[in-house]
Amino acid sequence: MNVEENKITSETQQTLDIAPSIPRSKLEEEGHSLLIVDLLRLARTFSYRRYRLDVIGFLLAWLWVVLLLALGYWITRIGA
Amino acid sequence: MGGLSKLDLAVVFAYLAGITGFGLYVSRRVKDTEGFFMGNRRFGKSLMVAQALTTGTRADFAIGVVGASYEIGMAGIWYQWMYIFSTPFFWLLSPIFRRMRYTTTADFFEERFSKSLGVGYSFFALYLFMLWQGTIIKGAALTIAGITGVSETLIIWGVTALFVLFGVAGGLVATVNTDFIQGIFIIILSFMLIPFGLNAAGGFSGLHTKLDPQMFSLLAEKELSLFPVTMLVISGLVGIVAQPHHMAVAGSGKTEMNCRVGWCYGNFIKRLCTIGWALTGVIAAVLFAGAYDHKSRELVFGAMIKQLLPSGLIGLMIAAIIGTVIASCAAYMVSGSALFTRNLYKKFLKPEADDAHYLLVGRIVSAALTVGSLLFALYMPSVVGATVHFVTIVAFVGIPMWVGIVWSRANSKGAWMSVIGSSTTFFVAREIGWGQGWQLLSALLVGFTLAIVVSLATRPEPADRLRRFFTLLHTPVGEEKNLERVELKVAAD
Repeated sequence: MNVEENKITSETQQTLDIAPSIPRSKLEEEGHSLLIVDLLRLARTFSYRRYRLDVIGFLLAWLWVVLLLALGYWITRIGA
Repeated sequence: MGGLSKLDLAVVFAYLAGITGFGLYVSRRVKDTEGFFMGNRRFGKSLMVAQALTTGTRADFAIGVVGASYEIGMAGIWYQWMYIFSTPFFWLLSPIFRRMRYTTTADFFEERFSKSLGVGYSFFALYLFMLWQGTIIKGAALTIAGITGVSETLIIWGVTALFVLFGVAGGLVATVNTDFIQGIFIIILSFMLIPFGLNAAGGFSGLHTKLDPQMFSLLAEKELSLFPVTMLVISGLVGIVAQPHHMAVAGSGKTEMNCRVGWCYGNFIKRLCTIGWALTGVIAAVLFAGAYDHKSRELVFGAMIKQLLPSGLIGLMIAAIIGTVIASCAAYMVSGSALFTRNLYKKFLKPEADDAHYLLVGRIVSAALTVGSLLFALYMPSVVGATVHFVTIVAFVGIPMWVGIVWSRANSKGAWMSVIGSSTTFFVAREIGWGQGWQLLSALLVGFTLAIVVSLATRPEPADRLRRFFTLLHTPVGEEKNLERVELKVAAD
């Protein structure tokens, strides 16, 4: 490994540590943490309490998708 | 005027006078660029819903879906439903946009990656805004000209003058405050033809008797089969973050919850409207069987309005179409001028001027962008063609945005190579004759791979830049004191 590669490897580790090192705010601990922002660390950070808003809203939104698809399909069947 | 009755004309003129007067009235409250571009981030849930619905719903979308469904059946719905599976992600993405506290998407690229990427994105976004406005104006003019018999050119200039006057004067405040009214008009536009059309076609059973069963399938054999639709859905999700007006649409709410509810559910209402457009197209397939071919199918929407609606409702429909043009074009124009003023003019041409100067520049640029969009309108092959072109190219810019939010190691070189690599792959795949689905799949794979590999092979972004960016993302709206503690200079909300 040459000097440049060593530098990149060391800087890479520092870079990857940046996001986890930012202290979580009170609101984030109480359900306002963001799934997408923490996507690569979810295995370590996930709890329902922390991501409550994202989880509930995302699931509800998928329910709306299913309902809309069902409505679209139902309309194609009327009068068939 | 052309084939319009006095009642129709009265409805159209009353609408136009009301909406323009309102834009001018609201303009008195717009004193600075933050108010002009982002409405001072004060919008509540209902205004955010209305804004998301109206900026994301345009008459040309309806015209495109009706035309496609006229030819291939209900499957034509996918030209707009390609975003239905992306919509739940709006719930997750909107607080990210709000927490960034940026005014334009170019700010994101500049702050997260580099100045060069911010400039590159600004030019790309200006191109998109002109393309969109051109498509909208063209689609509306085609339909209104078909109904009234007035020259298409005259309608183009008239509609353009209206939204320029409206948007230049009032900025985002004016467009959002009228979005309630425009939203109602959009829903009217989506469903008004259906009862009249069904009555003329013999009801739903009449449709099934007269049409091939394939016309009622949500997947068509030609034009929109499963694989290309799947790839359009994926491209739509990748590209959604990079659409230039979304920083304002998703980030101008007062709270994060307002942004979530507004962006997500405003778009769900649009998906509902899309069902109405597709059904209208299928009805048209019965009423105008064989009257239009692949190239002229987008004219069928205007023909239905003219043939089916009684006097007065034709005027209402024309007002609805003009309403969507004004709402969408004014919003795009404001976002485009924000991009130019803040990310190009202020940074590279005149960094030290006062806010009034930038506000004036923003207004001048708004008008200039519109002239560009008029030129685009003249060379548009079709509304649907322009939509697919847009979904495709915006995905290439969406890749580095996703990677940049999720992965702190992503850097500017990786982002540049991703955009260049994915767009090159797409155009090469198209030239060698690959199908649409394979073009998109190969471009996305190359884009994501290059973003990761090139970032890993080159040095990361400076730690200060990354700390600033990710601290913003980890600071919910309402906890700005935490930003002051780490000495981050962010505009107070």
